[in-house]
Amino acid sequence: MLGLVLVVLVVGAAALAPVLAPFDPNRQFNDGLSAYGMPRPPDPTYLLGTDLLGRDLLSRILFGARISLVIGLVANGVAVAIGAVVGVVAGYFRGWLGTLLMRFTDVMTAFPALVLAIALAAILRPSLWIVALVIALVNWVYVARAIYAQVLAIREQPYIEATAALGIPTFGVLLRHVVPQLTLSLLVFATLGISTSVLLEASLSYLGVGVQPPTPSWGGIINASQSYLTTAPWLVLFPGLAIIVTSVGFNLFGEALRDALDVGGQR
Amino acid sequence: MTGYVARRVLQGLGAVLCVVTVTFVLTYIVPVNPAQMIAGPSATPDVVASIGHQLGLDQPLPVRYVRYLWGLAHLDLGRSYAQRTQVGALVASHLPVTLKLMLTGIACELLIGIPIGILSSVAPGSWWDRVLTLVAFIGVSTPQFVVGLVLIYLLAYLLPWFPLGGYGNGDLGHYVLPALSVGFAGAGWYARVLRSSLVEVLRQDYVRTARAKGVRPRSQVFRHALRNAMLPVIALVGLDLGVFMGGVIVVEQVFALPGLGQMMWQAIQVLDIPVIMGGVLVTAIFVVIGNLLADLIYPFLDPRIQYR
Repeated sequence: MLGLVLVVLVVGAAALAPVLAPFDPNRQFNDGLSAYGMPRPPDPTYLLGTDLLGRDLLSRILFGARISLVIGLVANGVAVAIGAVVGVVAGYFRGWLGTLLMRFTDVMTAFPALVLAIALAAILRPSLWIVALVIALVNWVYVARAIYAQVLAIREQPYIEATAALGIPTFGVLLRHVVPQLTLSLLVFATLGISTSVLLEASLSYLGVGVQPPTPSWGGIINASQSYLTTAPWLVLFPGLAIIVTSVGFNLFGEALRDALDVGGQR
Repeated sequence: MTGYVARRVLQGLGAVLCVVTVTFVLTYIVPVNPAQMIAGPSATPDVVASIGHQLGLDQPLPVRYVRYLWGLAHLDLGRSYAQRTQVGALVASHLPVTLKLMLTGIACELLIGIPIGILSSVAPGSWWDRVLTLVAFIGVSTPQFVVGLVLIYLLAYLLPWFPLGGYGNGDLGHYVLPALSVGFAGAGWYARVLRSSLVEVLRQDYVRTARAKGVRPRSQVFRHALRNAMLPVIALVGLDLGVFMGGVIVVEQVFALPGLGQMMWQAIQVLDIPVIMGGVLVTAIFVVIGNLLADLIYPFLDPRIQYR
């Protein structure tokens, strides 16, 4: 329940950012910095204070929600799609193809995910879509493993044998008789994985190889302002809270969904 | 048992070889010429070509791959492009910091996670179970750098108990906050895994028998149930070595700890491919060792498990 509330809160903030945000997130205000050139703490005008360039932090966090969610949804969508295809193909056909695919998946799990993501993002000149793609390339393995195990069980069912007796082409069997059985698991992965993707995006942007400024992203805000941690802690605290709320929300919501639908998909 | 260990070690070596191969191909198909990076943007093509020749970059990919593996077989990780040193020496000088961070970090995860898991499992559904479960959820949902920065603000700035960062002379004080940053996030996973397995075990017949014959509640949990419930936790420690190595770049960046993460991060910035390769190789070895150790510890905890 709490999960649903948090998810609605974050999605609402992202969708309504242009309405909710008091200011343009990229506008630098003349009074946005103190007389000493320091960012201003929260006050009635700038509710969450201003950043190092005199921009309104609340507006930047609200627009940052859009970046975070778009990357989370796209990256995780791609990851679930890749994982599902690999899992279904490997689980249904087994044989050398299945062994090859699952061995490759195993190797990818032994791979330091963040190192891979950072290296790719640093080399490929990060843009929004590159970051999403990099995250997807790291996260699909968990989906592939779980789906593989499920498909192995499904293909032993009598009704799959019956489709062979009826002469239904393989592609039709996969599409109409195997994949529908996986819908609920995929739905759970599509929800739970958003949290992982949002966290990974935040880490990449924090390191400076994620979404590039001036586009507001939560990890990027923290990256830019961490050297002012002691004088302007709100610049780290509020974006940090935004990341946590989003991630907790999708995690709780995904778990609740899994319990309600009664599908076991362990990560 | 010996046969089993030998087989697993071989499988592990195979996995490491695969990781090396994938990294090798990935780093060499990138559209950036390392020779150009070293020579600088204003270098003439002649200079770039001669640097490329020095580094052996003008050789075809399979030749370079075989040469790299040949070097590896002789424990030679190659030379760094950016710094004129052996990668092996670089790894050796950064490894102790990361190892200390790993040990203290995983210790923190267990010290925070296991008590939470036990407390929330003894009365599933109680109010403290719900609060602790939420705490565990917040743990797994919080990026390490946010925990790290908050800890720095609270325990190094407001209350100047610990250093703000850096390595100093390498005393343990420099590892407390980094280890806690690792520990807070990881503890959530341990708490959740231990809770679900302990709830399961506490429902079993032998625990009910213990309860019926009047064993004290504390003893039911610690002497009877916990040992069986720890198996998934041990498996998680094995996996955790890999997860830890993934996050080590971020944590070492927050606290400016000169470990493998910083080494890889600096290498990625200048596309120092041999150093990146060395870092990935060590990481993959950690993952394999972690999984192997977890499997080898099982029979000691649960004699019913036997390997052949």
